[in-house]
Amino acid sequence: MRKITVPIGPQHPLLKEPLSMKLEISGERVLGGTLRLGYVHRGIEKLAQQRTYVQNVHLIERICGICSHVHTTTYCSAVEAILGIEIPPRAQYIRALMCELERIHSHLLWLGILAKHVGLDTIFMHAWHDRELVLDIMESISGGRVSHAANEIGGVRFDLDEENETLIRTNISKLHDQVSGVLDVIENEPALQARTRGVAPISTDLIRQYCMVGPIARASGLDVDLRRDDPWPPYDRLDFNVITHPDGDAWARTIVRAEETRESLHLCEAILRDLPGGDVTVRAPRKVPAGEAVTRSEAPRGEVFYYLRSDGSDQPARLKIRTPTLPALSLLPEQLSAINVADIPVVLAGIDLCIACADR
Amino acid sequence: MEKFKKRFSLLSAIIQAWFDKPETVGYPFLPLVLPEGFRGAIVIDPDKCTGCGLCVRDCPAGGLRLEKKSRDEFKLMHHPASCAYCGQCERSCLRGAISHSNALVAATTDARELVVVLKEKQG
Amino acid sequence: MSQIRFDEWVREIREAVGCECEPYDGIQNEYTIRIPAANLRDVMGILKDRFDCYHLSAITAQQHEDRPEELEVIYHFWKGEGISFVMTLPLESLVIESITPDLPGADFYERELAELYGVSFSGREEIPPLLLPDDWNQPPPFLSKKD
Ligand code: SF4
Ligand code: SF4
Repeated sequence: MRKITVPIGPQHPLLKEPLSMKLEISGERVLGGTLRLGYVHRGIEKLAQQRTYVQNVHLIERICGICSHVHTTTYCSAVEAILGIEIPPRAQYIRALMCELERIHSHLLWLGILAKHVGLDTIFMHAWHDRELVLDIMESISGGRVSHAANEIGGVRFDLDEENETLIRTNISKLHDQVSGVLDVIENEPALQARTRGVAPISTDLIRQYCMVGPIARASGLDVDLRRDDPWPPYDRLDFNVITHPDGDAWARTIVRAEETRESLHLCEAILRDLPGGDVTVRAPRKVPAGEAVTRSEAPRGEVFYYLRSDGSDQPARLKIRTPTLPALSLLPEQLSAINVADIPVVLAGIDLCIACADR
Repeated sequence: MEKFKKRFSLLSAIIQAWFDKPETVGYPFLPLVLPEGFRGAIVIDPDKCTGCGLCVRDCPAGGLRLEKKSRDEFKLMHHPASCAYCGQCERSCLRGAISHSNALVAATTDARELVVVLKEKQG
Repeated sequence: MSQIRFDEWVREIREAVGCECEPYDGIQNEYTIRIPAANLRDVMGILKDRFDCYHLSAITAQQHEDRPEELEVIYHFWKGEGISFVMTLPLESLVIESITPDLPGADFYERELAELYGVSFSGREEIPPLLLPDDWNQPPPFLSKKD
């Protein structure tokens, strides 16, 4: 059959963010493809070198519209490592709480998008409705739905009071019910299974070769989670299960993310239970002494990597950011070979794309 | 029965949806309830502000501007359209003069509203 | 949980590759070794075969203010903890041997470096544009060259 090349993107109804693919298609089969990024490249790494450390917290927050908190957490811990200050335990717990809330919000958002792509709008509506419960928590404790501005160098900006904790507890227990309901549907719904099972499975070996991180790696049987393997406090004191699945297809990713949402709900409860008292900030100087630091965190999509070098002034000399979508994108051409044209949306949804992060 | 449950796992959710109230808010026809700590429009307490410029120095988005001739003659301006509503100015001000109210900042068609004079002091 | 026995790794790398590799503790939270750029591929081979250390987190390139005539390139690996390999390249010959044959996951990072810093990678297929426009004909945007 004749081979044709179909360009998808940079602007395409299938994509929420600009990404360009050229797919080789023969009949109903996709044979392979190439990728182009950079349509939302904002030069944030370079821009950060012209801002002060304080201003950068807010710049970094805007790398990603979904996992904004984990970026600032990673950045702040890099600065704090060079400064040699340790933030109060209460601040560590609040940072972790926000990270977990963000993971729930991100996974529910993703579940909605996947359901939408396979045509299961009921689940889309339910997942996004439940996500509002998390956003309500975050808005009322931090003041912003997605740009929380929760972190500052030396701690967090807000403290939790009685009222906040009650709101979190009630919303989390509501979410427990909702997520169980959604999981029940996912596990039993034949339409969802028919669309996701066996679609573009990735072997553990390939995952390792492509340095894959996060839920995608875990859905292919690679047991890696930075919260357990390379934790920053308080994760070393918290107990949770790392969810893995051996199949590596879109179905496995759905299950892993859905189960992880439940695990995060438990983590939120544990954090609230163990929340120590005390201050939430320590004073941090504006100028950072010369030094270099590397920090890694487990974002909803996997490992976020920051490298920071300071030269003793109040602006960073180099800030390198690696977001988890970048390795996922490098495996995309591999996944887009030997699938059906109708499965393209499922494959794209399955990797939980965040192009703006990947481009920076 | 098991098979029925598998086939119609969504049924209860669909039936429930007939009886649920809409989740959306009828804004702008109905009032929008925002939480206390929501970072909305920038407000200032003119008695407290001394024109020190700390807020301007730390603003990441160029949302604030200070024209200062002397200690007693300055003008502090806010640009709502450039502002990122990040709350840094509130943190940086040592006198607690500048802060966020929880009022939503609406879009405007009037260019004059894009510059808000927070405090003007003449010598 | 620590999986890197750093001294042992340094010793083995030194013996196997026969290069001078200097451990240094400049980077916080990360083991760091300076290696000559020419030995990168061999070191990578040992990491993979001997220590089963696959995960490349990122490749950083940077220019130090006090050494503007060099580009410093850092390969950040991870296995339970971070381990970095630092090498410096003179601006006149920005060439590194590609590690993509061993580790296909390095592909995007190398392409990013190639476009933004003008580093060329030997031993891999030609690098198609990834980030910059197709008709980009300016010098690499992140590299500052003093005239
Ligand atoms: S608002 Fe506060 S920080 Fe800004 S100029 Fe006035 S006193 Fe200074
Ligand atoms: S909220 Fe942030 S962006 Fe807006 S004026 Fe204050 S510091 Fe500037």
